[in-house]
Amino acid sequence: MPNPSLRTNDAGQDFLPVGRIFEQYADTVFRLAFARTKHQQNAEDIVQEVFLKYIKAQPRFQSAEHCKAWLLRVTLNCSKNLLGSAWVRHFAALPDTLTQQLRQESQVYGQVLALPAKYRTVIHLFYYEGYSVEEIGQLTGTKSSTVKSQLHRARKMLRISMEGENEYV
Amino acid sequence: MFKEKYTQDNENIRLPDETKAYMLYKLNQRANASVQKASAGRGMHRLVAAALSLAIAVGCGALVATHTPAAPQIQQVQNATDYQELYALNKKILTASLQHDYVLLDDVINVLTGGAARDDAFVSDQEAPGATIDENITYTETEDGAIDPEYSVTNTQHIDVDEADVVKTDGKYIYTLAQNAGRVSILKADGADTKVVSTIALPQKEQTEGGVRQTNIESMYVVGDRLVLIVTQMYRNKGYYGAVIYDITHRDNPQKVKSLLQSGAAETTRVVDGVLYIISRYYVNQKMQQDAPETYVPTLLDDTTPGLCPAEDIALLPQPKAAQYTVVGAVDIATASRIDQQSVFGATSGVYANTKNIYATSASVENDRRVTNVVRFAINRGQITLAATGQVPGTPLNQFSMDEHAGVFRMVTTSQTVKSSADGNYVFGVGETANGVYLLDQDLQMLGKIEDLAPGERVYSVRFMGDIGYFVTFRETDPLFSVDLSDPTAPKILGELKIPGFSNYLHPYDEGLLGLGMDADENGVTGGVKLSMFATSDPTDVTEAHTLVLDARYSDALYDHKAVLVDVEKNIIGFATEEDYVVYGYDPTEGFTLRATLTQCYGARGLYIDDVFYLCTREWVQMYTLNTFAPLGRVDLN
Repeated sequence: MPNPSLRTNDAGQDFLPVGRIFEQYADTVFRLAFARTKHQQNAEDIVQEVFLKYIKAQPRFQSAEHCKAWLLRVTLNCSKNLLGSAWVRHFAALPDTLTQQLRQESQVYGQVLALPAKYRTVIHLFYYEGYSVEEIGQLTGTKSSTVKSQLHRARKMLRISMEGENEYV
Repeated sequence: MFKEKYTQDNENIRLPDETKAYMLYKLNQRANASVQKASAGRGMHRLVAAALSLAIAVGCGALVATHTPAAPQIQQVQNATDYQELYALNKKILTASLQHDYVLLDDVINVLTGGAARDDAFVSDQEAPGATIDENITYTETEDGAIDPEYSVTNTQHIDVDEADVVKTDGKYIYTLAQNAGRVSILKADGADTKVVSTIALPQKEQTEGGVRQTNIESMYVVGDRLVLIVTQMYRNKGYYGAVIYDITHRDNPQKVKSLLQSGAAETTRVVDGVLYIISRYYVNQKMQQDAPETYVPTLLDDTTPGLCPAEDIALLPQPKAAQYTVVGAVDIATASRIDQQSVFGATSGVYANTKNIYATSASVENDRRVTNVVRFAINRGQITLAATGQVPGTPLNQFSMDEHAGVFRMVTTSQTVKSSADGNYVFGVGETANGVYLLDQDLQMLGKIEDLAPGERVYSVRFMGDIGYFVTFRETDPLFSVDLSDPTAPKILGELKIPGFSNYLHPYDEGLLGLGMDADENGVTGGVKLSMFATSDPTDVTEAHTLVLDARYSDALYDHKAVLVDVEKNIIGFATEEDYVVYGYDPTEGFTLRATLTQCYGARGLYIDDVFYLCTREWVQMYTLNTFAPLGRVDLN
């Protein structure tokens, strides 16, 4: 009996079982979700949501890049909802270990945490995920010129908060 | 460069393996469900996110709870048939869900702000006919026929059940443990002439053929001519808990007799009638192998010889909640031999017991409310039998929240609705707390209860005294409730006394009740350590006869009942503050008076033998006259 968790589309590509995708991309999703929400538990919640959506939508991908981009896009959407919810505002005051740890122990992440959400997003997608300005625009649904200026302002803020470090950003 | 640093920082951000495992489990469940039902539309319960602080999670002594997995089908308590059955059960639970402890946040906050640490109790059954008194404190005759000296003993919950401590005396010798140094000093108690007669040093780290063995001495007992060290040990990446027994017939030449350990992390120990009961918690992890039962069955380690807990000594609870065992071992101290052992698969921490029963409890969450699962083991001269299981709403504060009297098991708990974090790892309380008193019969079925007491507050201390129970709740003021428990089917609140601050520890004193706690203002901000004497001759009208607020801000005695010395006859209430060791007296007309302020260092214990008071720390023992606390001398232990 064929493995029920695998389906193929006309192009012969498999819908990959969530297990494999999860193993590969859970941390990737988590890192973006955390950069967005600055909140470990919310970020974990988002990871769950993203992969649930994966199961529901059963997307097929041309490539690994395509897959990752899909997951990140969903992550951005999910975290948009959570950022605004009253629930988060109410509980945001409670201490989050990961945030505290990063503030104290990280090299630059602590400073990134101080940036507004939109800037954190572009910084993360540009410097960690390595996307271009155009690609970031596609992921976030904004014009690449907007992305460019957000990146510029974010760099400026980081350079200011990292004074004395002469970073070529 | 920024890019490099930012990348490196991100590499340190990842989901814990356990969280991933659990998420994957849930996702696979969902994926299979959607395949089977061929519909993607069923809404999954939205996982609620919340922030919790991990840093204070472990080692705080807070109550732990287990996540509930899909359970194997066990309808009632039965013994395991063989190890293969245990393998299958563990495998099912471990692959199905997350194997972990999580911490109830409010309990942790409780610990940090003033509640007592989780502890466990042996409570003696006051009605037990022919209950013998622990040899530790019996007057025995010396060789020349003289009666032994009168001396103070560890402040245990009840006298027939001994609890381990860092300082012990048998009226002639004083035994002190320096935990950090792994060293026990035995001193001959002789007033100004007190001196060290021998020392026992356990190598904390030794290289053996099998690997490195790390041993820590936690506490000890002295029973007749035996010194029992309670130790935790790490050997080949496995944790053990148990006893190293020494023959101290010749106090100046202690001889090691035997080491008797069992798998798991330390829970607690007790001594009843010369039998040592060792209780540990043993967790099975993913690394188990089917053909190696020692990876999923508790081990008993006698010196270096390992043995497995026999399957017939392992009881399976209905619907075990987690791949964990509570292991109870009974050891005869005089002969340093095992009598019996009983493990329960599926239960976890929190042990309460008396001379006839050990109650193992575990906190968990059901229907978004906190509950405590209780398992009763009957004990009889070292024989252990699983007798009953039950459940109570809410969670207890510590050992003093539980008591058995005349066959009725009583418990005071704090209840709250909870919410789970996304990964199910953490719960935190939402909504108001409420408190309750529950009474159960020997089958752990509910007889009677009072609920919804002091809403918005939580229990800070409890003391059961026969038919009356006293407990203190706190938010800003400290209501001391007195409860009539004489009819277990209909417990009644007799009275409620509201005073500022709260008591962490309640101790019967003469005809009243001594409270040791903290003062607090109307906003709940704590001030100094506070002594209260409650007049309880009329439980319907409990009053605060006297109170004294000290300058001190902290005392070990607030969290560890063994750190306080209370003796009505000698008029001593002694405990260490952050500065000194203080001794107060109490007079019904004058109230509390300061009798002495003595210098101290960490972990001080006070005790007396005849007319000498000994202040024992890990560095030295200082002697004073018991009447006037005039210094007599000092012995250094290094």
